[in-house]
This record gives sequence, C-alpha cells and structure tokens, in this order.
Amino acid sequence: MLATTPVRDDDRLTPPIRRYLRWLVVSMSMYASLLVTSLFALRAVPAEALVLRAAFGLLPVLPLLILIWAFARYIREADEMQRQIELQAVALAAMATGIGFMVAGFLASAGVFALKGELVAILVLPTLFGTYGLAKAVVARSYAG
Amino acid sequence: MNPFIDMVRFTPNEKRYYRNSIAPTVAFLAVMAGSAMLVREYRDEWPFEVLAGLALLPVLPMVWIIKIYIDYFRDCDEWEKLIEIYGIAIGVLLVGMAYFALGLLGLFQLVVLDGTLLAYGMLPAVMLVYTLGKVVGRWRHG
Repeated sequence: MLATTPVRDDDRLTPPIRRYLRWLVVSMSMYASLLVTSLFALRAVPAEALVLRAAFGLLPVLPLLILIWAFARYIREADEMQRQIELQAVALAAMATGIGFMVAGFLASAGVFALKGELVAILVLPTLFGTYGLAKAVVARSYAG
Repeated sequence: MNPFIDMVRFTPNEKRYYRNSIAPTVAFLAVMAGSAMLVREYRDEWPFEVLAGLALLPVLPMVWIIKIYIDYFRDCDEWEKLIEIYGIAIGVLLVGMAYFALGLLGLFQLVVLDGTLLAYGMLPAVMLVYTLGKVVGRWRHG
C-alpha cells in the first residue's frame, strides 16, 4: 500500500494521492537515514546497555508508523471507489501473505528447510507490500471491467 | 450504537458463517495434530516428498475456512463489507509492524526469535487483531 503509487484510471493525481506521495517520500527518506544511523549507533553502544540498544534498534520503525498514518489518512480522504479498491487489495494481500507464511511454517516444521526468526519477522511487511501491489492491479482491473 | 456490543449481536449471515466454520476448524485442528504427529514419528524413515506433503496437509482445511469466509463476505451488505475489510487492513498493518519491530530486535541480536513459530503465528495474529480492527471500523463508520 505503502510503497506503491495509488492508480487512477485517468492518470491524474488527486490531492489525497499527492499528499500521500509527499509523506511516502518523507517517511522513506527518514527510514533510510534512521536505518543507517541505527546501524552505526549500535556499533558504538556497548552490549550491556540493552535498553539503549533496543531503542536504537527500533528507530527505523518510527517512519513506518508515519507511513501507515499517511496511508490511513489517504484511505479516509479517497473517494468511495478508490477506498474500496485499496481496502480490498490490502485484505487480499493479508490473506495471501498469512497463508504463505503459514505454509512456510508447516514446511519448516517438517524439516524441509530452516527459517531464521529475524528474517521471517523482517520479511512480513515487504511481502505484504509486494502482494498488495499485485492484488491492487487485480482488484482495479475487476472494477474497470 | 456501541461498536463493542454490536460485535456480539449476530446477523443471520454471521450466524451462518460461524456455524459453517465449525467443521473446517475442527478438521484443521485434527489434520494439524495428525500431520505433526506423523512427521515427528517418521521424520527419519519416510522420503522427503512425503514429509513435505504431510506438512502441507493443514493448508487444505485452511483453504476451506477461507472459502467459507469469502461466501460470508459476498453475502454482507456494503457497510458490513467495509467493516470487514477495515478489520483485515488494520489487523495486518499492526501485525506487520509488530513483526518488523521484532525482526529489527532480532537482527541486532537483542532477542532470539524462532522462525517457524513466527511463520506459524502470523495468520492467527492477524485474525486476532482483525477483531480489534472491526471495532475501530464500526466506531468510525457507525
């Protein structure tokens, strides 16, 4: 939702989309800079200072919260049709991602492959964004037809 | 209108949905337990493909549950559909965010994470938070 541009049939950017895109650029720039800051800071913070390490480790979450807020605002301001498309795409992406991760869990428990915890946790959001993009194309097409 | 009280006042469509969900949920639990038992028991004896097939068996009742949910969704009116989608959207965004935060903590070795458990837990976590999302949706669009 967050990482793809909302599609309009007439290719014009409405004010809600423009506002959303502005926040998308701001939050993604913040995310990149905070991630780098966090990585450098963690090198300097001693291993015993757990709270400080956790605080630096969680820094990149802040811009993502801003992004979700911007998306929620965009959904509120979008017209009925656009809102329906966005929300249906999120719902489809949620189901596909949830089932995908569950299948991976089943296979890992059977010893087919091993899953690294941090990798699974980090990958949920990007997988969701990716499937959202695909789902949105499908939903938008169904409305256009 | 109280979004919390309305959550437990069921429409005929909701009642039908909950009734129809019982069989696949029981099937899911039974298949899951059976599959886990067999995989654990015969991990070293049966071929890899059979084990993978057994591990994926619980996906079938899960697809059945989703089919029943889609039928329920189709029978919802426009307002109910919006609330359902709101619930899913809020649920998945909150869970995705929580997973991301956990992932960062794991990546920086501040917590130890079990990948299999996390992969298993994602869908149930979304389903739990979805209920909260529905309350928010009812409150906003009541």
